[in-house]
Amino acid sequence: MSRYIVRRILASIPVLLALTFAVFALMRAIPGGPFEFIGDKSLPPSVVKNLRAKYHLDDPLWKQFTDYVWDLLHGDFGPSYQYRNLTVNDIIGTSLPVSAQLGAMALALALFIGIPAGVLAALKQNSIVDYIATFLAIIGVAIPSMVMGPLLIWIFALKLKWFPVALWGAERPFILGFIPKPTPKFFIHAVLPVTALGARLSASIARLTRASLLQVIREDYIRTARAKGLAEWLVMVRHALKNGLIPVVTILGPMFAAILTGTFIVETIFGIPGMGKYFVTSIGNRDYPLIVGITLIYGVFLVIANLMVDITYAWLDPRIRYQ
Amino acid sequence: MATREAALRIALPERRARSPWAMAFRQLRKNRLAMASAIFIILLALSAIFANYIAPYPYDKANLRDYYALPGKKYLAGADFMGRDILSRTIYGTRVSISVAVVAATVSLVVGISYGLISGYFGGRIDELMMRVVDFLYGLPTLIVVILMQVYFKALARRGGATGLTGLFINANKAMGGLLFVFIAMGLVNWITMARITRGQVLSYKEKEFIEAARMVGASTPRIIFRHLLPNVLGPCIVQETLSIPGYILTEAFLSFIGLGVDPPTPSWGIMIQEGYQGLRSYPHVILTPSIALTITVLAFNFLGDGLRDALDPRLYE
Repeated sequence: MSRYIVRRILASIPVLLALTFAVFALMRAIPGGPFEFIGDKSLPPSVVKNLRAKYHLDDPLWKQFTDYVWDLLHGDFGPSYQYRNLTVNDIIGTSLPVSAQLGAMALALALFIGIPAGVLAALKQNSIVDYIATFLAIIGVAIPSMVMGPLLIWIFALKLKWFPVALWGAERPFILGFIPKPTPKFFIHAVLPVTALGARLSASIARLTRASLLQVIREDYIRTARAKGLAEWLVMVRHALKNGLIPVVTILGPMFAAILTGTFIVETIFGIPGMGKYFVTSIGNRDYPLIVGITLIYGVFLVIANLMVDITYAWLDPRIRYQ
Repeated sequence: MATREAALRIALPERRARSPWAMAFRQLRKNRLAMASAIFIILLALSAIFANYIAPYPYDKANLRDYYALPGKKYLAGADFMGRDILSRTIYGTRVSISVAVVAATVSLVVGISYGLISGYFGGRIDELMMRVVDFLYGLPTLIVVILMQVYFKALARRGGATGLTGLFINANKAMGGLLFVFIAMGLVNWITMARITRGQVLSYKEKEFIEAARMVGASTPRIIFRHLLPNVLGPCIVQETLSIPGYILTEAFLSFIGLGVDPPTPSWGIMIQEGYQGLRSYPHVILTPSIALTITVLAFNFLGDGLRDALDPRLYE
């Protein structure tokens, strides 16, 4: 098992390096350096020369790359082009916790609603519960978050006026850096965005759980457990669920990626000051260090998440370890 | 005598010889939902091809006086913030979605299947090497790379005056309404899954007797691969690809939504949803049509893919 873990970690390193290099090359390759304009006026060449020397933009490329990586390892992502008094670190520092809250809640929603729904539908197959659950799941999977978001806003915030239209209700400072204070204001603001982000995921998890559980129920060892006289729900929870959840773990990797890209959309729609929204606006404003910094963080996060998922999967299903 | 024949006829009911494809198609026909989805998709493709004739207005005809017009006699689905007819733009939007689906699926299938065929058939060191590459690429978050690529090429295009290879790409891109890179990016994302599935299939078919027989008869390697292995490999690949197409369409909509997709005024459902969302509070009708179109298209491909999977599943043969 540990050999597998080491192998997977070693496999992730070249990926991380390649990603960093791609990100760095992009930043240097995009025309229009940081210091050629302020507003509409261009700077005099001597000033540009001094600034470039200060930021080491005239050094050979390999040296720039190693400097960049060194800075990265020290947590320095460089200045922001659009917010000229802030560094990328500042922006990421304020926005990352918000995105993390949103993403974590959406993930929790997906798992805590999706899995029980799938289990219920599998237990009561072809009953009315099953049909309703399957129907909702199909609709949930088909409606993308960019449709779901405005739809939710229109129905629940504009027409019914149950929830606020936008913004995030978390108040700083956060506990431990990212846990928000559990005020009612926070929860009321959180309902619509988290639903928009997590509904689709919980629908696909429900479908997947139901399908895999239906297969597991027909296995012989379940029949043995029943024959031994175990109560039905015990059979489910103790025996069927463990194996039935394996496919769910396999899609956890793509699910992280989906949550990530989902935050771009949901934060833009709901005006939540998270990393996704800054990412989208920085694309429009051509703030390359910010774009690149956020991209790098997302990339690293995804690589690590995939690594975790692979390891969990190998732990759950011993057959994978010996590939 | 007669009873013996009668007995045989009961024991061995006659069955018309049909190829597996025909049997699968028959199975698919029984699935009404999948058939309805297939018809819808064909209609979608037709409206993409004949958009010029179907759409009541050109997609970029801006009539500012009809700013946010409500659905009515003049504009069947209303008008957007520039007075452009939403129905026409949705119809033209099918072009973008269908092209994304077709190009991405083709690239993914061609690259993935070839890769998997070669890797699986030749085995040994070639297989190991190829799978190493796949593992590396699998860990790479491709959407991130796609976004980076788009940022780079859009920045270059804005600056203008790029020469050489990048210039060629940019001009081709402009000709396609800003879509070329999106296509390439999509194809890059999914071929890995295709390659893995193909390789798995090849590995299980490689040792079967009919391959050995073909080799003994003297069939050349390419012939074995294309004539014998490929038809058996295609089934699961097509199912997988059909189920991936909603992902392509949604990714394109997502990229357009955040501004990294098609260039305006080319209509794409993603960009229409983004424009519609901006006027959501006062003019909710704008976002309705592209949303419905997107949702139904995704549903259709999902149902068709499920139907294909059930039809091609060997366990369900009568």
